[in-house]
Amino acid sequence: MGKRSAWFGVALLAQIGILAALPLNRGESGREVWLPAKATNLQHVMRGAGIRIEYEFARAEAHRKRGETVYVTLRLQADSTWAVESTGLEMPSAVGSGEVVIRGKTAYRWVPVHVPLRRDRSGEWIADSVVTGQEEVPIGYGETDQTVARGSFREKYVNFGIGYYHVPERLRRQIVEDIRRHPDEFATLVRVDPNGRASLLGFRVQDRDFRF
Amino acid sequence: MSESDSGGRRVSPAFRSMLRRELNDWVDDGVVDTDQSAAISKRYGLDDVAERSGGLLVQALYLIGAVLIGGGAISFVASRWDEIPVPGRMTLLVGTLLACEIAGFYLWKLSGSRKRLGEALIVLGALVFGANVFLIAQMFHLTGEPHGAFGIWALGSAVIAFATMSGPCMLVTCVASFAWFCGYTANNPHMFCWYPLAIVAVCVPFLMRRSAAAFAGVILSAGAALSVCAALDSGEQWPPLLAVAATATFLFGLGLRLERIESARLMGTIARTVGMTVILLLAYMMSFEEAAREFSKPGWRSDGWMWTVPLGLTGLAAVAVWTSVIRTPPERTPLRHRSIATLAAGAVLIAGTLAMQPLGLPVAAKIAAGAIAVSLLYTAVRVHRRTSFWAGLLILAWVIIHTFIEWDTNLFLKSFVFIACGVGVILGGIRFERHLKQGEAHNG
Repeated sequence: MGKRSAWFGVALLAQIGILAALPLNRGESGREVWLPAKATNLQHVMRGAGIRIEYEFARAEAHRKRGETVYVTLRLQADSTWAVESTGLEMPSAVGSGEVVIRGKTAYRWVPVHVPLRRDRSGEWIADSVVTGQEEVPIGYGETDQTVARGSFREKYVNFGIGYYHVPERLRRQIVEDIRRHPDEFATLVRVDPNGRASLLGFRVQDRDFRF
Repeated sequence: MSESDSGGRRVSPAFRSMLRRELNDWVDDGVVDTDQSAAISKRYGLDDVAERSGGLLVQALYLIGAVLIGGGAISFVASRWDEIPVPGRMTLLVGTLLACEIAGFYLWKLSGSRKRLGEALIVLGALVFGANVFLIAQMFHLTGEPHGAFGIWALGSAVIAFATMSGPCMLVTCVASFAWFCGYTANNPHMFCWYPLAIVAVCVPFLMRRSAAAFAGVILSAGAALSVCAALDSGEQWPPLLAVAATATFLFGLGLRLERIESARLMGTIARTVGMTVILLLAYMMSFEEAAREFSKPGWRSDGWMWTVPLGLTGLAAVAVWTSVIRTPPERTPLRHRSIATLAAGAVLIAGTLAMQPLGLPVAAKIAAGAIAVSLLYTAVRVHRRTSFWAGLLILAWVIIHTFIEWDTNLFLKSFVFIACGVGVILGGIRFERHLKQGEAHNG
C-alpha cells in the first residue's frame, strides 16, 4: 500500500510540475509589435469560438515544403506598418533596429470558397463575387434564380502560432460589432523573442485595445 | 475445473445471463436441486457474469456522470473566468485536479469502499488535467501548435494511469495522444509513422491486466493512426483504404482469438465488433462508384513509403491470428461461418483497393457486404437467431437494391429484380419464422 501511495504521490507531483512549467514556456523577453491583420470568423465568434486571425505575411511561397521552418523578416515602414523584407530557412545573422524576425512553419489548411450566383434574363448564370476564407458568407442568398456555390481549396501558409485569440463571453458581441464596423483597422499585439518565437498578447480595433 | 473444460467458453455472454435468470426458477420449480444448480452455475461461470455485467453498468454510469459533471463545472467556471484573478484561477485549476485525484485514490485504493466511484474520479482528474493545460495555455497566451497541448495532456494522463493502473485513464491517454499525433503528422507527414507501434508498446502493461478500456483505446488510436500515417505519408488516397481494410480484418481475427481466453473475452468482443463494423462501413462507402473512382487512380504511387512498415507489421499479425483461427476454428457455430465470411470480405476489399480499377473497388465492396450478409443468414438458420436473420437480410437487400439503382440497366430488369427482392424478403421471412417455431416446438 505504501509503495502504491508513493507512486501516486510521484504522479501527482509530475502532473503539477507539468502544469507549473507551462507558463515558463511563455516568452517574457522580446519586442512587442503591432501587426496589421484580418479577423476572419466573426460568425463563429458569436457562437463561442475565439477570433481566427490571418496575416498578409503568412502566405507561403509555392516552393516551400510542408513542415519547413521559415523565418520572415519584417521591416517597419514610414507609415508605422510592417512589410515583409525577406523570407528564408535560416535565422538572419543580423537584425536591424527597424526589423523583426518571426519564426513559423509551413502548413496546409482548407480554405472555404463561396460564390454567390444569380441567373439573368437570358438564363445565363452570373457570379457576383467570390468569397474565400472564413469571411461572412451570404446565408440568405436563397431567392428565386439565386444560389451560392460552395467549395474549398487547400492552401499552403506559414503558421506562426498567433492565429487565434480567445474572447471573453461578456465582450463577444461588442468586439464583433466593432470589427464589423472597422474591418481594416484591426491589428494584433505580438511579442517576438530573439529566437523569432511569437506570442499573441492582444488586439486593437480602431483605437480600442483588447488584452485578456 | 480447468478453463478449457468450462462450458462458459462455448456459449455467449447473453446465454449465460439468461441461464442465470432461468436457473433460479428451475430451483424453485424443483427441476434441478441446489447441488445441480451450483454445478451448472460453476460450469458456466454464472456468478462471474452477474458481477461483471452489473459492475460494468455501474462503472459506465459513474464515468458518464463524471464526464457530464466535469463539463458542467468547466462551463460554470468559464462563464466567469475572466473576472477571476490569475492566482485565483491557478488555485482553482490545481485544486480541482488534486481534489478529484486524491479523493479518487482514497476511495479506490486506500479505503476500497467505493472502488468504481474512486476510479471514475481518477478519470475525471485526467480530464481536468487536459482542461487545465488548455486553460493555462489560453491564460498565458502560450505559443505553439494546438496539438502540442494534446501531447502534454497525454503525458499527464499517462502518468496517473500508470500510477493507478487505471484502464479508462489509459483510454484518455490514447485519445489525447492520437490527437497530438494527427496534428504532428499533418505538419511532418514523413516523420513519425511509429506512433501505432509506440502506443501499443505503452499500453502493454494494461493489456496484460486485461483492461478492456485500455484495449479499446489502443485499437481505436493505433488502428486509426495506421490510416492517418498511410494517408499523410503517401499523399495518395489508396493507402488509407488499404490500411483500414487490413486493420479491420486483423481486428476481427484478433477478437476471435482473444474470445477463447476467458479473462480476455470482453477484449475479444470489442475487437471483433470494431473489426466487423469498420469492414461494413468501408464496404458501404466504397460501394458507391463515384466515391470508389476518386480513390482508384491508376498506379501505386506514394510520396513516402514509411507507412508500409507499421502496416506490414499489422499484416503479419493478421496472418498470424488468422492462421491460428483457421487451424482451430471458433467453437460457436455462428462465429465459425462469420469468421470465414469476414476474412473473405477483408481479403476482397484489400484486393479491390490494390486492383486500382474504378470498377474493382465497388464490386469488391458489394461482394464483401454480400459475404457478411450471407454468413449472417446462414447463422440465423443454423442457430435460430432472429437478429442475425434480419441484419443479414437488410444488408443483402441493400446490396442488391443499391447495385441496381446505381447500375445503368433497363427498367424491365430493374422491376424484375425489385419484385424478386420483395418476394424473397416476404417468403424468406415467413419461412424463417416457421423454422423458428418448429425449432421451439422441437425443444418443447
